[in-house]
This record gives sequence, structure tokens and C-alpha cells, in this order.
Amino acid sequence: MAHQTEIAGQSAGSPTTPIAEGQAGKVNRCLSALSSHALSLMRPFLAEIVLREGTILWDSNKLSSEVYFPVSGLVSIVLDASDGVSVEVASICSQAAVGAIFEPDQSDFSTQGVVQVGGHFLRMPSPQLLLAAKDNSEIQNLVTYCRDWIFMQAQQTAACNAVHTADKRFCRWLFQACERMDSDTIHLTQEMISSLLAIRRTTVTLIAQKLQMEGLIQYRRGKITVLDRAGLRAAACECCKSLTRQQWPSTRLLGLKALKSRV
Amino acid sequence: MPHYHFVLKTRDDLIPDRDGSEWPNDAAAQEEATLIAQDLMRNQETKRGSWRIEVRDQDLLPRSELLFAEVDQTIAHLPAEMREPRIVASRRIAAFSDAMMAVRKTLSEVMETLNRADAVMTEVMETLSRADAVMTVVLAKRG
Repeated sequence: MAHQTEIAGQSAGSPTTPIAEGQAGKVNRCLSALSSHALSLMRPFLAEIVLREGTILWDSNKLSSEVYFPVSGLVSIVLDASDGVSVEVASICSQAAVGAIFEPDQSDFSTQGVVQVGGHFLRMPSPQLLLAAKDNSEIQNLVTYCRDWIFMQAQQTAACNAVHTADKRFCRWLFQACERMDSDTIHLTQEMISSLLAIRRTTVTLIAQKLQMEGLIQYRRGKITVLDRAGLRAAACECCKSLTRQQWPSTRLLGLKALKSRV
Repeated sequence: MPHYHFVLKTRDDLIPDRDGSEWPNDAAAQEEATLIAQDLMRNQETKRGSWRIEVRDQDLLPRSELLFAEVDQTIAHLPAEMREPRIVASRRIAAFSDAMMAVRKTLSEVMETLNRADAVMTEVMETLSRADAVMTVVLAKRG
């Protein structure tokens, strides 16, 4: 199915600027793991964009034709269930890319891409990325690893939602967000967490309050500060152990690069 | 619209809902309490059957209390006579938890009182010690 044109950045009132030489590699870990040659093939099509929280990048009615490389933000891939309830199946930060990274005929799927934590992003038209991937094995690996990353998270989330409690899922989500954003402070409202985990807002309040009483986090309106990341991990479900930095697309790309340099 | 708070009572803790939220009436608040209970016990229904949500009004006065086991969807399909023993057992555990929490609270108060008494005793001993020193000086001058 052909992609439709979609302008999430413009609709959010955000400026876009072309990426200068050497700039892209500094800001997205996936891009910085590429060789300068591979990056040079992508640079002409990359543009910097600022996206606010709540921006819808795509949904089932409005498919994306862009690929987003988060720099400082977080994008959730959300699946709508019945009765207006939705649940997050994957979250993408600076170690991966998100958007139209699947082949066009595989993109007709009822997910929604939502910017949960606003910030800087790099945007590239999907046709150019997929074309570059056909000519360059590094870019092909980048695309493959980013697809893998979404599938791995979706598998984990399916199992996690089926067998783990809301409080452990909350801790898992928060721990992984801190790891992926490389920060102990996450700007997120209780409503947003409630929507990501498909639980009531008051359930989020009670879980956050309990974690605060245990000294693991500090919660102020729209801002969670993790005080004890190791303690948070211990309070989370074992899913934290199954998806680690080793599976990040950026780590895998760097691993491949190191392997090639040794050969 | 009336304001309600949903307080969570686990076996060891009482977790407040500081901000609370607005609901049209007691019945709607009770329905919300049911959904919160089902969120919190999902995948741990047996262990958390004795947890409760206490619905409080805007003055934090209790309006009702919901036992998790009463709204456990995993046993909802069973006939009432099969669900009842589980609910009764959960209610007893909840009562035991309340009693234990009361004991812990009393112990904590006793410890606090003992600590205060200890501080007073230390002050008394220090005062006596100072009086003793003064007496020694007075006696020395007389001698």
C-alpha cells in the first residue's frame, strides 16, 4: 500500500533544518554508529525537527512516509484495542529509528506513533532510506536492526502484559525509559502512563505513591525522578533482563563495525 | 461534581491517593474502585485477594471499602458457593492485616514514648550530675 504524505513536524509548529556535515552522527546513536560513507548517503535527506509531546506521527488513517531518528525524545508505538483503550507495544529512543521503516506493502497496520517525550529528532523520507538500504549494507543493517528492535519489544510486551502485574510493568517501563533516554528524569503525566500501560490513572497514582514511599522515585506533576535505578530494576518484572543494551540497534551496529575492523 | 479519594490497603501498607478525582456519585466512584482493584490484582489474584480500595469523600471520610476478591474476574464465572470461601478467607486475611498494622502502629508509638522517656532520663541524670558537682564544691568550701 502506498504511503500518504504526512507532516507531523509542521503540524506541531516545529521548524525543520537540514543537517550539517558531522552533525547527524552526534545526535542519534544509530546514525553515529554508521561509517562516514554510509552517513554521507543519508545526510542529504536528513532534516532536524523538534516534536512536542503528544504529536501523532502516524496512525491507521494517516500512514507515515517518513522515518524518525530520535535524538532526545521518546516515541511510543501504540496499538488501539477495543473501547478506546490503547496499549504501548514498543518505545523508541535515540538508539533506534521509527516510522515507515517497513516495506511499503507491510505498513498497512493499525498502530499509532505518538511522541511521548518531546525533543529533537532527525527525519528522513522513507523511500530514500529504503533505496539507500538496497545499495549499502550498513544502512540495510540499520533498517533490519530497527525492525528487529520493534519486533523484540512487541514480543516482550505481549508476554509482559499477559503475565506481569501493573506495578511491575510500570517499574519495567520506567527503568527502560531511563536506560534508553540516559536520564533519571522523565517528563510524563500520569494520564500518559495510564494510556501506555492500559491501566486507570488512579492505578498509576497509587503505584507511583508506593514507589515514592519506598524511596525509589520522586513524583511531581508531570515529572518522575528515579532516585534508585537499581532498586527500580529489582522492583520491575524480569523483562528488564531480557531486553538490554545488547539488543539496541545502535549497539548491534557498533558490534558489527568492531567485527569488520578486526577482519 | 463530588471529589473522591481511592486509598489502597495492602497487607502491609496504606497508600493514599492525595489528589483524588471527581465522579458523578458514589456508584460511579465504586465502579472506578472496581477497575482500579482489577488493574492492581491482575496476574496476582490469589496473593492480592485481601487487598482493598477504600473510597473516601472530599473530607477523607470513608464511604465504602472494596475487597479485591469480591471483584476478581478469574473466579467470576464460578457459582457463588464456590467463590464465597475465597472471599471469606480474603476478608479474614484483610482483618488480620488490619490488626497487625494496628499492632505495628502501637509498637511504633510505644517505641516513640520509650525514646522520649529515655531522653528525659538522660536530662535528669545530667541535672543530678551537675547538682552532685555543686554539692561537692559546697562541701569542700565548708570543710
